[in-house]
Amino acid sequence: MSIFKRAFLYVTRKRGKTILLFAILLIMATLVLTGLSIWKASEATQLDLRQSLGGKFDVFVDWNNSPYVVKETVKEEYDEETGKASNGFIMYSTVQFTPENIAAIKGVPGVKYCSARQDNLLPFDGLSLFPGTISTDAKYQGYTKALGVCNTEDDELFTTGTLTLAEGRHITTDDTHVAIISQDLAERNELKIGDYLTAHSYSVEDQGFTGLEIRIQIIGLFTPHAVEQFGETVTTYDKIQNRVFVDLQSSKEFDGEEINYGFSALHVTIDDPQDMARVVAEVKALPGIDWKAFTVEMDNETYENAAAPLATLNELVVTLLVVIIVVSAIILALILTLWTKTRIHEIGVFLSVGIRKSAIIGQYLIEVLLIAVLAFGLSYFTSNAIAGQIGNHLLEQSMQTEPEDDNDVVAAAAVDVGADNLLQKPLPTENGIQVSVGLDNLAQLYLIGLAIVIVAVSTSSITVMRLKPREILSKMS
Amino acid sequence: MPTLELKNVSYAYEKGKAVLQNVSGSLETGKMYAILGPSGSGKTTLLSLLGGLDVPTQGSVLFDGEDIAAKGLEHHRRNHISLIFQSYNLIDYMTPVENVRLTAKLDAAPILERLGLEQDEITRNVLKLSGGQQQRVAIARALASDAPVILADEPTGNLDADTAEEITAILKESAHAFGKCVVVVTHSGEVAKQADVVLEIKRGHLKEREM
Repeated sequence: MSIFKRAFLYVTRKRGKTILLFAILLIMATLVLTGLSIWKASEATQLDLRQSLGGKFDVFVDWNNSPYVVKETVKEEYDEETGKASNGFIMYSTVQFTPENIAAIKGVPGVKYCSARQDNLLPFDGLSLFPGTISTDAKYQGYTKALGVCNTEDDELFTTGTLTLAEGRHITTDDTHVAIISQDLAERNELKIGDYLTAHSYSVEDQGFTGLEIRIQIIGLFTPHAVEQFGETVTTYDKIQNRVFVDLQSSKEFDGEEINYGFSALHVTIDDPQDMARVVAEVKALPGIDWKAFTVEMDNETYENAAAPLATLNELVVTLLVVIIVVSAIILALILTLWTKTRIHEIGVFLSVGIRKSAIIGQYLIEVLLIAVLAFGLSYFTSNAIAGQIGNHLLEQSMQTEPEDDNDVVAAAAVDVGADNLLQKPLPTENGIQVSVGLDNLAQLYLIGLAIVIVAVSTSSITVMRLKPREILSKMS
Repeated sequence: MPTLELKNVSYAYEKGKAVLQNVSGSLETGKMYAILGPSGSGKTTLLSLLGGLDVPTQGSVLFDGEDIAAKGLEHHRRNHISLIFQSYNLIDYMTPVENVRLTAKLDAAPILERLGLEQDEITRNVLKLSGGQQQRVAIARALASDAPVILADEPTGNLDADTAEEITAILKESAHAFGKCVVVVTHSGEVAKQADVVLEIKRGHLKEREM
């Protein structure tokens, strides 16, 4: 009679033991499978979170330590209201980022976006602006912010969805004398794509317009996702509808091309916050950037705050899994040891008819596996029923154990930069984690279960299998 | 050539307390042997050594002239020996026919029928059979394994006189009709009377008794 037939006969004829073992294995498998699926869901949510949030770092001129920082006194400015003249000065770096530097950084693996802006405050001829909610100096009425960029598509306002290109196209590195304005501003001024805006070059050193006229063509219109709320304070030039995006060449011409030939700061968004150190290291290793002039400020806080409960959940689940596996193996081994002792008569008979000890252990293993296959299969459904609830309960526990630091925790996919309130996207964790038991988990369970069963059966068989057939037969009689 | 041979076999459970001392002898196929002796004289020990369930502390057991330890005791038990016990030692989760098929090299059902079990009895739970029927199943298992040697330890010890007589007759038939070497350890004089050769163990020595 084959080993499989013997095992099958035992399992089908000893129904009480079979049902008990089935129940034990089902509970064990449900717990292991639940743990595995929560673990997978937690990993997937962490990945989702990383991809949603990305990582960010800023590179900017090291104003305190850079040897390239220049401080120059500029022409005295006379204040008509106070009647006093003020001494002004400007600070700038003679080493700045160029569009080529930005392109090189964008080429580093893991970098999602690299953007930079030159901010200019200036008036455009005949352009009627939306008024702000707070007043500004009379001098700056009619002024708005013109942002000089290499590429609007990579600008954070667009990448976060705060602004959307509604019409036309984005500004690219190759463009000169082009602009993107808001649809509202275009309507207010009866402007359309192809029309021109006119500005005048301004000399920072001389504190006055040079007389040079700069014409820029509107190539795109954007719509903001939201405007400031009622009661929110904002100046005319900070209003999002008044914003004008221009190419770098135009921006340089606005400044008279005297000082700012590039960018003093870069904003880099990366795909995975976990890669932050590597990406920063690779960026720092790029040729053509003089790192004596710049410093890097990494911002992983948003990700770390949002991911902390998931990391805690992960640790909790892994610990629970290890405990479940070890306890299951021990319980199973103890039960099988007790049962093996009650089967000493059978072992004696088998040995006396020449069945090998290995074949006897093999039969025991097959018996447990026959039951385990069914129990593990059924656990797919039992785990599916409870995994979601347990997973989210554990996540809640993990969130409660995190230190409360509400002021710093920004549950959002973007952070506030300057006056621009970037669009807040919901985080993957806000609605809990989506736990579902997959076939991959089931395959893992079968492997883990097989290991547990082998360990338990081997352990339980040791005592009896050490005995000589004669000793077993003596015990029988 | 003798089937089983004991060559200067000694066995001691403890040092200096030998149960068997320098025992020699041979057992042939086609004969039924009865081993007699008082309790604790070493009858079952001798049977264990012949069956490869244990190894002598001195000397050797040969099968067809070859030391049974040479190819391993498991090989000896699997291929040369069938054991029958006083308590039948059937597997409780198997039917009679399944018990016989456990080691069967021959067809189980005809052997069971020849030993007097009805068709409905051979597929019944083995524990629902009478003692005599269970011992018949044990003998059928021994015969179906087609081993040349049947070793029986008090096979009639739990049976009434009539059933014991039937079982003894079956064992004798196994030796004569099936050409087996049947070795029966017994206290029963009735069983011994049916044997072709009666051996007696006294103070660790094996002697053939004149009947």
